[in-house]
Amino acid sequence: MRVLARRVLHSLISLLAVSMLCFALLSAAPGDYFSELRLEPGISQQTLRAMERQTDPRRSLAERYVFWCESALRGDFGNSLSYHLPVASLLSERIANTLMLSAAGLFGAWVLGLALGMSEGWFASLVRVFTSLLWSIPEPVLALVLLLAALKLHTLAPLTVPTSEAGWSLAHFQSLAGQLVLPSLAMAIGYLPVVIHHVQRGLVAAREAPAVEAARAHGLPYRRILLHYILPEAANPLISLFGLGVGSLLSASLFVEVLFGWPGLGQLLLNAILVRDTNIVVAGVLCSAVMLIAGNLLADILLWLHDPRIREVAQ
Amino acid sequence: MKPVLSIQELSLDYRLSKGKQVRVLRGTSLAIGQGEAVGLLGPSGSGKTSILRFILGMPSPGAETRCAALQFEGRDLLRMTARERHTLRRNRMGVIFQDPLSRFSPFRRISRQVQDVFPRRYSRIDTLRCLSDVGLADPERIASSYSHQLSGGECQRIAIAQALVSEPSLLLADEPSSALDTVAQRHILDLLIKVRAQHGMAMLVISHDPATLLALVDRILVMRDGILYDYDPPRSTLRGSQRSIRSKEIETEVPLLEVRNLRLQHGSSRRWRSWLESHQPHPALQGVNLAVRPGECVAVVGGSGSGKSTLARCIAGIDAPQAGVIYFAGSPLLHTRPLLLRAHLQLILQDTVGSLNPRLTVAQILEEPLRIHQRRPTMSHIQSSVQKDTKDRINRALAAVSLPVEYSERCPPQLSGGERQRVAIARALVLHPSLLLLDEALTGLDHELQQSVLELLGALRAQMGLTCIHFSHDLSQMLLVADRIAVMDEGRIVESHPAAEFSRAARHPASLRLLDAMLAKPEER
Amino acid sequence: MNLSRVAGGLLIVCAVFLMFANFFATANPGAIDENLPYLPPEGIHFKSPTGQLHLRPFILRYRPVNGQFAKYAEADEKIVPLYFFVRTNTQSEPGGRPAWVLRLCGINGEYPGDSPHFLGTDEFGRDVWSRLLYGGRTTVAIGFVAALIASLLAVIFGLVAGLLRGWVDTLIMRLVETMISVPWFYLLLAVRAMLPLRAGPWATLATSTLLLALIGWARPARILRGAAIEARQHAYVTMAQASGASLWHLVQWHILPDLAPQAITQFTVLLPQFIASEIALSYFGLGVEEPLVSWGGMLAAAQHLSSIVEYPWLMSPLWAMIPLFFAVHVLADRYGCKPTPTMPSFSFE
Repeated sequence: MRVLARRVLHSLISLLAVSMLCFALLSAAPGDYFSELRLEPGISQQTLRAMERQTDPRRSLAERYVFWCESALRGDFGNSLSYHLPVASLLSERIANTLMLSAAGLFGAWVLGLALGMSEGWFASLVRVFTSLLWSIPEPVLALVLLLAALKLHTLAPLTVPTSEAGWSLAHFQSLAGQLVLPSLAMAIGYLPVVIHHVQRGLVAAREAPAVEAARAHGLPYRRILLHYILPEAANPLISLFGLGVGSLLSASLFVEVLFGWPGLGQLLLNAILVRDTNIVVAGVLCSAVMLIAGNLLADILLWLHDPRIREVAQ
Repeated sequence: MKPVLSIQELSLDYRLSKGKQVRVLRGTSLAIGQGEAVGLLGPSGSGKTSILRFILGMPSPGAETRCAALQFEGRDLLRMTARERHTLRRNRMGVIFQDPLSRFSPFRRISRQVQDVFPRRYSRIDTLRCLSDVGLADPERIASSYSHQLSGGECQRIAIAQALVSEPSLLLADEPSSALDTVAQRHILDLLIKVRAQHGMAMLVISHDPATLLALVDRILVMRDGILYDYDPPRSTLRGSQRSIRSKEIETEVPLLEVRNLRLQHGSSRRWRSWLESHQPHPALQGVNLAVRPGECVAVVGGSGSGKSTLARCIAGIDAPQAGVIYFAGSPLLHTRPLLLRAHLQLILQDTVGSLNPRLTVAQILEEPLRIHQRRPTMSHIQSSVQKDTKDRINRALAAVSLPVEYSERCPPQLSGGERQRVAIARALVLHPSLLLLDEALTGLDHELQQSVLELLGALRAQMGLTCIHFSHDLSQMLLVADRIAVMDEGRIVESHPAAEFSRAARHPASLRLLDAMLAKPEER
Repeated sequence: MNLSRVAGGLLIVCAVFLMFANFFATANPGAIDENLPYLPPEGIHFKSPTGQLHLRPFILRYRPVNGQFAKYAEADEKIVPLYFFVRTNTQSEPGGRPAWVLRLCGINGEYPGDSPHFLGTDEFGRDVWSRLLYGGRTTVAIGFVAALIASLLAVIFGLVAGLLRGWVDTLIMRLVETMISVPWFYLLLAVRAMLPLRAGPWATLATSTLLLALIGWARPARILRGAAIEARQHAYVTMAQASGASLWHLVQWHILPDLAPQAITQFTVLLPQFIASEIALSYFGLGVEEPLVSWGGMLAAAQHLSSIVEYPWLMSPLWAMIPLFFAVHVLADRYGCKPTPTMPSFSFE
């Protein structure tokens, strides 16, 4: 457990480093939110100057960073320049959307991947061919094919922003699920070859492991060999992969979000970068970094639970 | 007597890459009677394990085994389905594998893994009893452990217990003791002898070591020219040739190498220069004293973990000791020593596969130390003469280990184990060293190869007046080779005697343990 | 075995097409034709609508419907034969100095700069087929060079960290960990946001390349550091050290050859990832700038669902990626070096 505490501490330090890096990089950038606005012909110089006066006048980088840190500790991560809202409230809504999408995708990919990857015989080689084909098709193409298919079938309801304000009625849930199907399917299919590849490779290696061979030589029942010898043997890399998947929940869905118009974190972040809305960018990057670290941590805990050797080393 | 197992016209092919095949066995027969113990002798990689796996019904990948008939307890195994063979393994056959540690799942407690083998409902008491039957002193602790918490010897005992659960009529053992250290080896052999006396099952034991087989089995078959022959144990030829060298005693006042109070604790030396320090922990040294006269052959003998390898690495200048001095020919030898001195001390490691870079040819391997020790010449005519000289020295080194010159273009993977060890020795000789450090240099080799390498070393010593220090765990072998035996235990040299008097003069418990293990070996009886 | 041959062939074909883009293209990638926005692909035919067979392949042209934007009538009866190995004037402006280029095929145009449009045109009437070739050249070149630089950086940092250990190792590894703890594409976006958005085509080209390389080296460096530590522990390295080899000698003789396959593996893992990232950057308007063409830039025109449905030929860069990625994946798989694919290349973990 002390190892775990140290891991958390390390993660916090690297998060701090990430935030500093982000902040410094964005502040060092030539031009800011207003210089982008100036290019817009519709906004008069007067309004611009008024807007500039409203935002905080401190110019030194360190001061602004400290100010930002204060706001981060308060929990609102400063104000967004383009939305005139606290970043935290903006982000939380978007993060919920993104999490919903990619968690569904991840779940689908793992269920399908485990089922297909554990197959044996001719079906396994079929799955292998299918995987290598799927692998070379870029995710956006998959998303696009799905989208076109849906349009052809006329089943695609116009995408609306799923809001939680509407209350959690059954009807709302149904419509939400209906909208979630396609984008999350696109994500799942994109992620599927990775899962299948790892499951298959892990099982092939595990079936040849000396301990499994010994179990076979002792004539243990097949089911017991599979459940108690082969699967635990193959589990470690899969657990790590799962942790990585959980870690990328916030960042893996960028393309799907943009293509399907899903109002998630990725879209928000992208727009913020284009209009140089610093606070949103820093907070967004930080959130995805937190997710990545949390995913790795989750994998470590699962590994710790699963593998007695790791438990021993950790103590 | 009806045989338990009979195989008719067994043939075995190995599929190599690019569709090539190597025939290892061509139509040979084998029968094991009830309660009979048969040994199968052959060098490593000769296909012994493939035979065993064929009998089990778990053919090894890449090996093609065929036979006219395979009968076990009067039933035709070739007609059986995979599932039937599986049930048969469960009920009638027992198996013990080499390398016991890896044969247990690291994720499941030992008690569970033993229970898995029981055919009917089991109880914990059954498990504990069957563990204590194989001589495990603390079955409670062992049952609740994971395999990585146990020693190799303990794991092998558990494996034997697992194999015995179903009261098999045939016990197959694949190198049951070769991955263990000498003392544990002895215990496992004793246990197997006892088990066989109690249960009276037939046994097929596979090993590369005739001594193991002689202790265990009634008759030994040896694989030669694709046929199994009865084995005729040779009398050791070493004794005569080595004695003559030993009688040539060289008495000099100044020792060639002297080690005084050498200490090394791990984990603390994180110095800038020690970047090459291996990060696998080696056992520590607790103040080692050792003196070696010129021309002498000293053996440092000790069990695993006694610090032999660390000592060798310190003398060779790989690990930096924290205290103590090494004197070489009267002058102190620091960790950062000049190149010239390094040429005088050469190290040969146990791992012949790993100690030769598989990417280089033999010529390049032999050239490498010369390159290291040569100042880079600037003028081209000097370069050509240096190149010629290099070639000469390589050829002479190859000749010294009696390898033909054609071998210089081969790569290590194309060489056999013995040839590789010869190349490793040649690599050491190329710089004309005065002291050879041999760290378990004979351990991985088969019996015959060991002998030929020892003969080679003896001849080289006689020719060049080499001083040798062997670091080994095998006392019986060292008694034949060395002039003097120094016993190492827990990072100290506990005593040192001339080889001829060692068995009488040894007093320290560590030495006595080694002697016990050795004397119990049948070859020395 | 056979599959890898197919993949190798595919890769060579792709490379030839992209390298000799100006030979295989039919038009100038930047040539705008206001009269023909969103022209559908003109197929190559051998059989005329009247049922007559022609030895020389030909195309049938579309005619704009008067008064309507991007509406075209079905092909008319007129056959426009294709000629091979033609010298074409790429100078479309009247009065400019003629610039002659050898093309694989062309037509006897009705006006200067007229060319066949095998994959149709985009919103400005630019030829998609030609843009596909030129854009692929830019995109793949950026990915390739960036992957090369990143692999080199990874080898250097991995070696330094793995061999020197001590505080150098700690420093490099802390940096690597910080870089890895941010999702890779977001880091890319954040750093890209720091740089000026509009800076001219060649500056953005260099920016994209360096950006990918500087952000992508961290993960392979960590793997190569592990490999270097492992390589150092080989017995033959110990032996060489015992005979007094210098650090440089060890690196040269043993460690670098040991690392080479790993480094190549890392390169093959990075290559599709970087190509995909370049496409994504340009797609979001953060990559190379016009008039340089890139696949992402081409796709950016198709951001709206309606345009995807109405003008599907605008998505041709996506289809072009499939054989390229397939070839790279199969070859990477074949050459022993199992890519440890943590993510598909488009999920920017």
